[in-house]
Amino acid sequence: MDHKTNGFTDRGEMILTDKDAFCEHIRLCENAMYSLAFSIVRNDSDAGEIISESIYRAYKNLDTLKNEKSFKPWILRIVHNTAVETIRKNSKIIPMGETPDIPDDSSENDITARLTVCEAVNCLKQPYRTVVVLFYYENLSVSKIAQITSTNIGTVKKQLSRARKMLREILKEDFNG
Amino acid sequence: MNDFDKYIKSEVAKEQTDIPDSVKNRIEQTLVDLPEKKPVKKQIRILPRIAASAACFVFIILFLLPNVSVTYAQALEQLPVIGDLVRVVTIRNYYYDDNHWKMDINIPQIESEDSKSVDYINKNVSELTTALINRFYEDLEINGNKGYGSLNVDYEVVTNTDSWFTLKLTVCQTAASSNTYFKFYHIDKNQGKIVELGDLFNTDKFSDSLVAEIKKQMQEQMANDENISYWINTSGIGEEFATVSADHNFYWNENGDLVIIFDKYEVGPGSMGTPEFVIDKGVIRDILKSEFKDVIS
Repeated sequence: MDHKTNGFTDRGEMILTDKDAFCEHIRLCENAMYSLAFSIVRNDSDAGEIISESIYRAYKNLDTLKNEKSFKPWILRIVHNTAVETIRKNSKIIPMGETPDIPDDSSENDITARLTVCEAVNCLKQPYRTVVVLFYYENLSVSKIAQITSTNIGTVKKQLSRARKMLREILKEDFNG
Repeated sequence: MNDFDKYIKSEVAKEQTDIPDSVKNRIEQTLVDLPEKKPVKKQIRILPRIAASAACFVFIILFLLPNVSVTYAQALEQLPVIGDLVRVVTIRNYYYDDNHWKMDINIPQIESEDSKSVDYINKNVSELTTALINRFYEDLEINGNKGYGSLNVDYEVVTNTDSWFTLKLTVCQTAASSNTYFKFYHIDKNQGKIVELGDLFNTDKFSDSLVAEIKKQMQEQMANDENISYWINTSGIGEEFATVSADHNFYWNENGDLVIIFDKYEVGPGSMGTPEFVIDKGVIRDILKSEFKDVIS
């Protein structure tokens, strides 16, 4: 017989009706949810709306989550899908294929013009920005990123490789490895 | 892991900051609002039937009744009797609510002796609201009780003087994110004609004057408040605001100044709502047609 441990059965399954356990897991993932949503819409207001809607959707479909350990990629996939859906519905929020805003060479020698990694990531266009956020900020594996973004491992590897190249270019003043 | 990956991860660890309070509060509020017990999944299967029944009920109560019952129709008439020539009544109300999806639509009808322009507006309003209602029920059928959404349509008589009439239709849709947009209808009573923004001016280049003035106001607002953000002089974020079309939404305020109004997400992020810009009479006096120089005096 199953018994409750922090909202999950001893087989690792989440107790579907336990709101407290669900809220606890959301709070543990809220930074990752925000990073992902913001990487796609790039403003706090829309990111907040997307996270809110994702929480509703996740709670509603909690019985599709079979393992506690999968909670983070599972909720991030919902956030990703919700954000992409929002972009499609409101195409004016931000174009998905916008041109990367790489600083020109004139600022190369100006130490004050150097970018932080966060600013450099924001210069990337999609889908590189999202892949970088999930890989470097959330320390997720390539296979987990593929799950979240509904693509395959090979594609994620290519996207990461291109993103690295672009980041190297943007951050060449700071990284000389 | 290569050196570059190590470098990026170490920099990220140094830079990482907490999520903004506004988003944090939004998350907490969402969690508080969740029902204690997760609704039972089996509702998904029966919802289309419930939706169909509810739609049928709404149709009978709110569509058929007003059209077959004089008493009911009179009761539904909100009569903001506005001037001698034009009045607006609510001819139909559609309401639906199943705790996930909600629709509340008030459909106005203009009544006037000027049948030509009024007929055109009534037809346009009817087509727009019918399309929205059909789309709502299609979404309901597809999504069942997965997710939440709402649709609200309401109207307001903005102006009704001896010479001018303006009806404003407001549509609010919520699904994942919320969106608000407007449709303004104007009648020049002196000429008995429907008027759009482009008709007010004696030049096709009216957009340049309006865009310059609106951009100036946007820049002033952004300089005075860091929370204000419009999509001007940006690269990559949103669609650069560059033009005002001949059928763009506008109205005259109580001072007789032209007000240009934008839909949500049209010129800025969702947090900016539906911005309005008052164009002082003096700014456009030279390009306004003489008959529109003092519409509201």
